[in-house]
Formats: sequence, structure tokens, C-alpha cells
Amino acid sequence: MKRHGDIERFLKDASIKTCDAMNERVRGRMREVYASSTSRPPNVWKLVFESRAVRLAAAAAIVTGTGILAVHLVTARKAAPVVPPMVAKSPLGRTTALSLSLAYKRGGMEAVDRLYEKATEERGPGPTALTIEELIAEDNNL
Amino acid sequence: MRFEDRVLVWRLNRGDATALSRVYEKYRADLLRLALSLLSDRAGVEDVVQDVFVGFAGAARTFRLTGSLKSYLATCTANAARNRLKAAARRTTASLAEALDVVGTAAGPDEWAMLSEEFQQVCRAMVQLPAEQREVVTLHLYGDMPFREIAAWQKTSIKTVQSRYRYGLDKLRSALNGEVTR
Amino acid sequence: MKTLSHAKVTHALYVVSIMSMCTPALFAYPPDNAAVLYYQASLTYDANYPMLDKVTQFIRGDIGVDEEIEAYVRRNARAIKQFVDAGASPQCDWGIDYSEGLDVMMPQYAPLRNIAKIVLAEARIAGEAGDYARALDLCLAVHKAGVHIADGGIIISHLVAISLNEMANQCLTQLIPHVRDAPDLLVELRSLILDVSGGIPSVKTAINRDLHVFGGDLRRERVGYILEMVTDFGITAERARIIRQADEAFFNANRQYFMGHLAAVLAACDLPYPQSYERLVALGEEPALESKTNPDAILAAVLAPAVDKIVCLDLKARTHFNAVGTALNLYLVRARTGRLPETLPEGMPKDLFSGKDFEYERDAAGFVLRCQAKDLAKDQTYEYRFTFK
Repeated sequence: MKRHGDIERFLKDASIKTCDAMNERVRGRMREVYASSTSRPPNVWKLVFESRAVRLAAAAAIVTGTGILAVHLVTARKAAPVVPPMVAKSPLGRTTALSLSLAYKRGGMEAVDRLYEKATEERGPGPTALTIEELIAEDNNL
Repeated sequence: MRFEDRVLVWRLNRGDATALSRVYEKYRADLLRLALSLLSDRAGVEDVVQDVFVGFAGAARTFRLTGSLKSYLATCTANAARNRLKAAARRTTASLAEALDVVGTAAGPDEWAMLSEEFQQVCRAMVQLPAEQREVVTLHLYGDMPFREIAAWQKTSIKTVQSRYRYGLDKLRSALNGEVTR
Repeated sequence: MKTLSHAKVTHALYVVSIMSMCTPALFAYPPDNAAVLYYQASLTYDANYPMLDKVTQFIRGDIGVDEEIEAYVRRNARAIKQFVDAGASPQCDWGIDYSEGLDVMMPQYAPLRNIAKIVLAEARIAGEAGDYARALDLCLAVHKAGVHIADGGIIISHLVAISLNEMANQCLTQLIPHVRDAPDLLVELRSLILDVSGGIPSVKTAINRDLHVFGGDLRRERVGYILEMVTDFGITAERARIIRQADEAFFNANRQYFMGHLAAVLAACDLPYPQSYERLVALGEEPALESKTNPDAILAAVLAPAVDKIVCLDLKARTHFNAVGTALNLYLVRARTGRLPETLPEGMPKDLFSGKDFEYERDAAGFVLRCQAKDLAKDQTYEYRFTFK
């Protein structure tokens, strides 16, 4: 007589195999649907640009913009590469997975400790034993 | 493995189509087992599972994972299976002939799933369970869904779900022991 | 019959309503997520670095305890309690959002390492005062914190975790001799150590997570962050220029290379130790060499982890666990038979560097367990001394 545990195991272990051709067909269908899912909902801009007057205005704006851009490019001493904006580095911003990982690679756990120490120093000391009484006193300017 | 699922969903949100294959590889067998245990017609099983994967692919760019991906896909499969059963207005317990049709060993050239002898036994035993018990057993075992989530899905209490699971396993045990000793 | 006065009834109603309001809050403690307690401890401990240096020397055994250390440990009693309570909780969700990729924040590890040191300092003080149960409990709390940190983490989490385990094992090595005549305690300790060591996930799991978290995020839109990081950690101006001006194709190729590199590293981890180490060293040098001629390897050359060293550290920590486990068995034999066995009994935990039993040597002061192969990264053979003091 199979017990509950045995039945559960039997059910879980009972296996199936799948046919490669069908697998490929389903994967292909998934890829197709995923690729076509890039299309966005009706575009507001597209609706706006259906108007002839707006199209003319846009063409004028593009011509002016291109002119300004051309002047800017000519006058720029050196073309600066487009770099996405950086996030301002906060003290704790140093303690990201990547910076910790690089610190370890360069100097082991001691380097990781130093990195943390530097981040803590820059951040300043945290509360050590702030009690409810102290918080209330602070709120009441006592 | 929730961590990997989270990364897969993240990759899909960012447009990395290769993650789809991994999701498919990871869950195809379990979803097929789940659907095979819930439905009596083989074509229906394949349609349901294919629809679930394709539906997931369609939504993957904006999909937000809140719990387990496996539970999510299992719930989709169970919903689709339930809808199919309702649409066909089938009886909750299929006849033995239908069951045998589902688990026929001879897989056609394009048939998706080829069942082991053990899984054929499981399918034959499953069709003897009432639909609610079958859902609980399969969602818990093949969808790794906790009873709490199954209870929410079946709109009933955890205690009822646990009872359904226990009764379901008891019936399966009798059916499988009968079949094994036959 | 005496009737209750109006004042008494009012008083009783007050007491009942206050109790009913407080009860849910009391039942909510401790929280079922250990991370909440670890974070609380991180906020409340006293991050006094000169004192932490002193505590580190004390737990290493370089200096003895003094009033300053005792006062510092007392001052951190609340953080210690939170840390120990956290260890008792089986659930630990750090709330780390790995989908942030390269710049996922991990500010909690340094405070936890520091608190672990303070906890072990208290363990040593308790041990010296003869309160061995408390001392062992504190060591185990540090071990459990290690398991909590490693669980679900990336390589850096794994490294922090095993550093905690190493410190705790050093402390245990000093404490176990004090309970050598208490077989019940030794058996209990043996099973707890087995539990903890079995709870640390494999280093491969952590490497695999790095592969996904870092590898998946090597994208053009992350160039600013990548540049900032690699510049902080040293990169040639020419390389920085290449990365700054790179297009999407460069990042795609580098991502593929990085992930392929880590996949090869994972495969190398499955080899037996000496071959695995040799292969990992070769793989570790590969991106830097290849990046001279192949731009696809540039990011891997800077960002790929030094897995050869990491694997050795992992083996070292696990071997230390096995040495402690073996020692507990030997102390148990001694507690039951009155003397240490002449040879190492069958089925003891292994030295993972050689894959063999530890070399076992008795002397008047105790016994030594020696590894039978070197840690090739440090060119050192480890030995663990256990005394009868």
C-alpha cells in the first residue's frame, strides 16, 4: 500500500518527454509574439501630426533645429561622446555590488572593509542608542 | 528558483528574447503535466499550454513578477483548462475510454508530449477524481503552488483545500495501487 | 456579598484595554524576517573604528580583554541582542532588488561584519567567565548570520558570509575544549554545526548569480556607471575612451564574452581541486590577455571576479567547518571513553583540499588536524589545533 508521501513522490516522478519539433514551433511562436509586442498603443503624436498645418510647422522646426545643430557641431572644438547622465555619487553609493566586487578583486576583504569605512565616514555617524524618550524630546524641542 | 525567475523577467522587460527560451525550457514539462492531469483531450492540452506560453511572451515586456513565476504560469494553465472544460460542458469525471485516449502511448509525429508508463497511470487515476480535488493535487504538485494560493484561486478556505488534497491523494492511492497490482 | 466600587471597575477596564492594545504588538515580536532585526542592529550599534580594531585583535587572540573592550561590548548590548534574535529566525529576506543590476546597493554588510566581531568578543568574554553555553550560542548566532547573508546572495555576499563563518569557527576552536567533558553539549553542538555548514549555498550558486546580475547589465545605457566604477578602480585612459565611445554592438559582444567567461568558470568549479584551481587561474588571466587583441574582452578584463581566490576561500571555510566537526567527534570519543582514539575514526568530515581525511596527530596538550593538500592560492597547508586547556 502506497503511503501519502510515496504517492506524492510517484506523482512528481512520473515524467513526460517532449517532441523537439513541437518545442521549436512553440518557441518560435513565442519569439514572434514577443517581437511584435514592441508595438505601442496608438501614438498621440501620430494623431496630432495628421493635421497638415502641424506637419508644416514641424518641418519648419526640424529645418531650424538642424541649422542650429550644424552650427553647434561646427563650433564645438571636439565632438563629445554621448554619455548618459551619471547618478550623483552618494557616500553609500560606493557600496554597490559592483564597487564592492571590484574592491575585493583589488585588495581582498580588507579593501571591502576600507570602502565601507570610507562610505560611513562620509555619511557621518548614525544613531547609536536613540530611545523613544530622546525622539519625543527632539520633536518637542526639549 | 525565484531568483532566476526574477532575473529572467527583468531580461524580458529589457527586450532580451533569449530569456523566453529559458522560461519555456524550465516550465514546459510541468505545465504539460499539469494540463494533462486536468484535461481529457490531448489536443486541448497542447492548445492550453501553447496559449499560456504565447500569452506570457506577448505580455513579457511589461510583465511584473509579484510571486513565483511557476505559480503564475500554473494558474494561467489551470484557468485555461477550466475554461476549456466549461466550454465543452464536459462531465467532471471522464470515461475510461476518454482517459485512455488522453494517455495513448502512440504519440503522433507532431505530438508534443510523450508520456512515460508511470505518467499514463497517473492520468488514468486523475480522471477518477472530482475536478476540485484534481485541481488542488495538480496545482500543488506540478505547479508548486502553496495551499494558501490554491485556496484563493478556488475561492475557498485553506482547510477545504487541504481536505481536498488529502482526499485526492487517498483516491489516487487506491486507484494507483489497484492499477499497479492488476 | 461585596460589590466592586466604580473606581475599581474603571481601573480594571483600563488595564484590560491597555493589555488588549499591547498584546498584538507583543506577538508581532520577534519579526519573522531576520533581515529586519539585522538592519535594526546595523542602525543601533556603535561604529567606533578604533574600538572595532581593538575588538578584532581581541577575538583573534592577539590581545587580552580589558575594561575598554568590556565597556564597548556592554554599550552594544542592544545590537548584540537584535543580531542574536535574528539568527534564530529561519526566514531572511534582505529586500535586495537584484534587477538593479550593477549598482544594486549592499550597505548592510560592513555593519554586520562589525557587529559579528562585537558578538564574538562577548562570546570570548563569556567563555573566560565560564558561561560556555552563552559563548557557544553567540558563536552560532554569527554562523547563522553567515548562512542568512549567503542565502540568495551574489559573490560578495558569499565572501562576507564565509568571513563570518571563519571568525566564528576560530572562536569555537577556543571554546570547545571548555565543554570537552559534556557529551550532551558536544552532540548538540555537532548537530548545530552540521546544520549551519549544510545551510551555506555552494559558491557556484553565487557565481551564477553574478553572471546574471552583472552580465545582464553590461549595456550601452549603463556606460556612465560602468565608466565611473572602472575609473575608480584603475583603467587606462585608452580603455576608458573605448568604453565611452562604444556602441551597442560593443556592449552586446562584451556581455556575451563576460557571460561565456563565467560559464567556463562555473564548469571549471566542477573539476577536482588541483585541476579546478589550475583551470580557474588560467581562466582568470584570459580576459586581460585577450582584451589586448579582442575588444570583446575589455569589460570582462576589468569586471570578472577573481574566482580562483574565491573558490580557495570557500574551500578554506568549509574545511574549517569539517575540522571543527571532526574535533567535536574526537572530543566526544574522549568524553565517553576517557581518551582520544589512536587513529581517526571512519566517516569523519574531510579535508576538502585533498578530498581525504585530515591528518590526525595527538600530543600531551591536545590534538592537531592537518590538511593533506595545500591551499594553492596561498601556498599554505592549514592545520587546526585543539587543546585540553
